[in-house]
Amino acid sequence: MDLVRLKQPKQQNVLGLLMHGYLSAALRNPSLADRAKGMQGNVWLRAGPMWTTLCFDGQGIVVVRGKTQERKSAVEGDMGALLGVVTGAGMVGPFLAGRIRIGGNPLFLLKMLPILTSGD
Amino acid sequence: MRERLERIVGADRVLTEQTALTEYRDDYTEADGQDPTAVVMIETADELQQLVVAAHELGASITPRVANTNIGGIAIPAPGGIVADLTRMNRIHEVDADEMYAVIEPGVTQIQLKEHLEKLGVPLTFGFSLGPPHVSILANCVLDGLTNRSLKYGSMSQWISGLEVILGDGSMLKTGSWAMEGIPPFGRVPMPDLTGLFTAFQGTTGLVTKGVFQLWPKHRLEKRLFILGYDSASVFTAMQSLCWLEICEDVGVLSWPNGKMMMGVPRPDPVPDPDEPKYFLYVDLACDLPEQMALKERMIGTVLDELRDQGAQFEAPLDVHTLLKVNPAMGVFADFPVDLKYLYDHDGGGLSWMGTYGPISRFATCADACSALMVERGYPPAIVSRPMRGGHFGVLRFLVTFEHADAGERARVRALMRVLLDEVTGRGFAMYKTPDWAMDVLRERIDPRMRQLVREVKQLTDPHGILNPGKLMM
Repeated sequence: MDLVRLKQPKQQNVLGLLMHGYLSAALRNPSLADRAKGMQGNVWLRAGPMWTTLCFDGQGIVVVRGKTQERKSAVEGDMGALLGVVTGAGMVGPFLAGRIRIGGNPLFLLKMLPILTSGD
Repeated sequence: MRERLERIVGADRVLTEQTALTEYRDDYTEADGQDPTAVVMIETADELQQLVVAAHELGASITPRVANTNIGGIAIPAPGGIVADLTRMNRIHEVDADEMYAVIEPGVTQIQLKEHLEKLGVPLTFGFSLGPPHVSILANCVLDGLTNRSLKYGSMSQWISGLEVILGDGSMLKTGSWAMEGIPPFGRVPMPDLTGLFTAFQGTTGLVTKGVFQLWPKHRLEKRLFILGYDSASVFTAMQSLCWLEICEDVGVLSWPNGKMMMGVPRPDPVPDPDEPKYFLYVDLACDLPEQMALKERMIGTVLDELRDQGAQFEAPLDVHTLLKVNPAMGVFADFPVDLKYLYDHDGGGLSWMGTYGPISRFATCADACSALMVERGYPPAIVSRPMRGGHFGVLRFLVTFEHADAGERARVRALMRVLLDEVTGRGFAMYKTPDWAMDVLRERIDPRMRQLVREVKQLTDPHGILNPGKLMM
């Protein structure tokens, strides 16, 4: 089974597809794959007005279009800032500049951060 | 017939077996296929000249073909016809770096010329179509297609400084300045411009054996930016505004289904997420100094800010390499020649389009109307667009991928193309690389005296009517 799966690929939005490609590459790293498999909960991501949810289900990550009912954490920002996070521009600068907002359980987010920023 | 053709090229370069002929019977589109009677693998202009004479003797027609990636049915042979496969006529005769041209044969491909220029180490480049790397450069020129440099230099027929052509009676001529003994092929001036007799005539007036193809300076710095936009009016206004800055190598627009197909969804749902960007505006920049690049990017930012002040919504420009780092699938659009396999190398195998040239100020309304027609019929509205020749006109294309083997779907695609043709034509757009079914619709719109004159040109250049019959709009 793929570690990163798309729910309803035909209905998926651009952010979900971008993240699916990114996470599929990231989880080829065994330590990040183990980390993902050790997590349970949903993370909402917003780029501009567009939402996608990363559902950590203990077997990997399911990418779901839009927002699920429940979430543990959330990362919101404009597209450039969000993609900047995953490509190595870091989160602190955009956060302090107000381009990135984070919400929910910070510990869960911290645990996820190495996966989200492995493109650095 | 086989014996006569073997006398020209030898037995091993004449194909008459059914399995071999099947390879030449159709293209990606919904157009009905037609087996040729024979296929001849041509290697030289002399062989092609002999083939034209033989075809006349045999009462057969000739359809030229290289990569068979045309999506207008133009390389589908006529009943009983011969296909002249020009793949092996692939010599690059000359590259003149000082005068910026290459003399090439019709089988020379995009990737071949690119690699040749790199090997020579000359600081020159050329325009690439969105076709695969192995497509013919000259075929795109004589069919008046376009490339990623058509914003600056126009449609592909304008990239030709001269042609060497075999007419339907087997005679050969040159057009442009090199028609004069001792004069190099620097341009189509100053004599009467007969090159136009062989461009956009869809291979019906002559068979091109060589072309003088214009090359352009290659700059040290290049950058491709993607700007995500949320509605057609804003995006096409931005496209026109950026074009008028006169600082971009290319400006283009891809609608959302292209992005999704690129990222591995072969046939996205026709209705997008209402919150996602509907268009990817891309901008190519080239220059020699970092300061020039920074200034260009600042000017682009100013245009976007002005449009945002008027209510438009855009994401900040993203470098293609950022997108590539996020999702390697975007790599297919990172460097030319691109290989957009999602369009032709998918399980269904079918690809059709409504490719038009038209007035840029009408792009947004035309894109919206045609998108609605596609969605109504269950097809995601894949649009590819760019301004041409400094923005004097532009290209607006609607693409459909489908199950080629499914006769029912071919019929549905045919019906969709028909309604799209009516829609675009009614809005002032003209289809290019026009397939025969569309000619039947458009013929009556053409000035009768022009049609008559074109028929007279055809009669003059192809007196026996053997060159790609049925493919001329008139």
